[in-house]
Amino acid sequence: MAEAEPRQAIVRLTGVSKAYGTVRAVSGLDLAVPEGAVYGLLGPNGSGKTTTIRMIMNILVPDAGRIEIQNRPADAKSKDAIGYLPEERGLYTKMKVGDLLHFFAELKGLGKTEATRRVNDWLERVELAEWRDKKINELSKGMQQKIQFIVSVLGDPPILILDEPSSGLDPVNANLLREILLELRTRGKTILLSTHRMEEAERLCDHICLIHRGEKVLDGELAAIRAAAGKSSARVDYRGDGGVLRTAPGVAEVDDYGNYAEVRLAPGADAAALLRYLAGRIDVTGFALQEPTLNQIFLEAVGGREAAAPAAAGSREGR
Amino acid sequence: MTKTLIVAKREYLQRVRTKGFVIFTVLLPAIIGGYIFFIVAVVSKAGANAKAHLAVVDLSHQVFPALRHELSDKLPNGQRQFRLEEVAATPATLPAVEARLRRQVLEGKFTGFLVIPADVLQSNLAQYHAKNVANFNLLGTMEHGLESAVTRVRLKNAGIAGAQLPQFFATFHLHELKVTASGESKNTGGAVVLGYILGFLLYFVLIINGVTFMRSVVEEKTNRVAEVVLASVDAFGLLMGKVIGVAGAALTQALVWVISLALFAAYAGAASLAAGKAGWMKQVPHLGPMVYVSFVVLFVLGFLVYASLYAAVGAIVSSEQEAQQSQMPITLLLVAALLMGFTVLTTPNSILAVVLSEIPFFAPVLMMMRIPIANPPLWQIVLSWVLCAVAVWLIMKVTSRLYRVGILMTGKRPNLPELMRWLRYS
Repeated sequence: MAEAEPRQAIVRLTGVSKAYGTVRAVSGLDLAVPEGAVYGLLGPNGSGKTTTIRMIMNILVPDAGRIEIQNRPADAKSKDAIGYLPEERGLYTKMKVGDLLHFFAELKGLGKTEATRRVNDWLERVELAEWRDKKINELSKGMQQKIQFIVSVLGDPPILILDEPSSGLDPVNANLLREILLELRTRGKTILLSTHRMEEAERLCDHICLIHRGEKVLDGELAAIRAAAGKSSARVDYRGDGGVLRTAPGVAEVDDYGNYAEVRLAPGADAAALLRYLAGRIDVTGFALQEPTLNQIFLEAVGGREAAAPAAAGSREGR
Repeated sequence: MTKTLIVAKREYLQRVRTKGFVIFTVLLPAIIGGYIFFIVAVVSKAGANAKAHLAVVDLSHQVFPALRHELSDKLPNGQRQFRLEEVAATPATLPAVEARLRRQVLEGKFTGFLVIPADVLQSNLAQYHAKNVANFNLLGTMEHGLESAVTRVRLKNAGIAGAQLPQFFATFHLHELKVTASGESKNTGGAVVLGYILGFLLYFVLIINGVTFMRSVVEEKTNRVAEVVLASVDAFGLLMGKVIGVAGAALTQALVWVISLALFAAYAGAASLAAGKAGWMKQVPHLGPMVYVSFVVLFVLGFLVYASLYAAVGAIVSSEQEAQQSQMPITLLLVAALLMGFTVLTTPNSILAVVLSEIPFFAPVLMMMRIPIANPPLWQIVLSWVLCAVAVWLIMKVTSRLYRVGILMTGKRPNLPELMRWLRYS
């Protein structure tokens, strides 16, 4: 796999495992994040995303396996190359915004003037400049979230690791975050982000890795993954009773959203025949063939595994 | 290392800037200072320096001139403190004279009156009548004056007078000399107190700063900022930085106290010299520079040792309440050191005392006691410093391992087997 990567892997995990007592959080995980990629680590709650990230950050030590960052074994030093936004956010609540950011800037090795410049630039960028002299605990949750994000990018690191970056942000700020991330990508940064929201990953990421119960289900370039799945999916916009979709010929699976449905076609099914069948029964206002959504791909991949090894259900908390 | 210092700087500034810290650091010396000023003011104004106009009934007919000589103390403004007026009386007229004087005292003509009986040279007794008989300074001076006057009269009656007299009134001094390997040296009992002062200073500063420090370690875990900081610094650097920062704050506090106490002592000293009551100053020990150097070094190291223990507890527990409960053993350790001090003081060079004073948890108190009284060889002093530093390093190594696991664990406090597993986890 590794040799096939077109770009150099800047973060690489080989056979990494971690257990908490008898609970296996991550097992035998291989992962290669190409330089300059926006890499999505996807999976439901409790699938091992945060544990994986904490091991990359050298906060947890893996029971087995190797972690390399910039082709060197991960250690305390490799942290300097990484900006990190943890899943559970925390700041020194009694410090002033400016002082706090300066503290983290200094930890990242910035001089005083450079630190001041960057702190000011970033506060401008996220529209919090007038809050510089306020204490953290006077800020709203969303504002604190943005400060937390600034902490991770202040050092201008080549690698950014963001654990659920958009959780807790309203749509406006989520957009702002996306803009900034894309901007950072064009400047050549590598971004590794974890999320359990497939549509977010679909919009942002060019590479993904799906993990489920601590094991990798699927990884690679998003476009390639979707192309491999083929245009085997149809979006049907309709009015009427969507129930007929489930019984229509050539339909393997249906995600019905009420106004439209995403239909997974059975292998070799004839899409035109499906459209003709539906046209006589419900009011079809739109019909488009498309690659399956990540959600469908994920469910299918996981579904396959579940069938092969039905394990006890129930998700663990995000460790 | 630089990162550790950056963490230390933040910790220091955050701590020093809090209202509580400022208030306590300034308030304590202010209270003590105010107390000393008050005492000095009371002693100098209302007591020793108050003027007294006395009537003296001298039935012996020979003590009064000597008394006038003895009670010639001058006030700072150059006036005599005592104005004495002899009132004639015989044993027969005494009741009438006393009645008149009593009236005059009530009218304010006299501060009081002295009655010196005819047999004063045998009885050593006299009477003082006044509205206020609780002014101990005045009474003390008068009593001492009468004693000297009576002695003077006795000597004169024995045929000793003139130039021979002063040598009978010379003050006597005892100089203690301590025999040590490096020769004899001057020593005073006051030096022993230094160990206790250090011990109590340490205890006090730890009680004030230790718990808040531990709370800040716990708080970083509970509000999750630790994970963000750990993205830039390793756990050892973070905790070491915090410990150094809090030690710096404690040292600042201790310095403010010690310096202001020294200033107050100097003030009190100057005031006593002016009032001619500097006897207590002979108790202030004359100590070599090594004692002062050791005091500072052992204070800093001692604080670091105990602060690192607080950090360890903070790393293990997951809530502030637990932290409160778990800190008892640490303070008990310091109390134990103070108690062991009694043994060390009586036999400062016994093997037990030497060994105890090298143990990092006890060294700050016990070594500090031994230095002025037992003159331990240099290697013993330096060894205690080194052992303290090594202890801090080791405790912090273990603590940072516990911290890395503890930071992600919230919930019940781990038991011992779990702690051992934590150590292996990381």
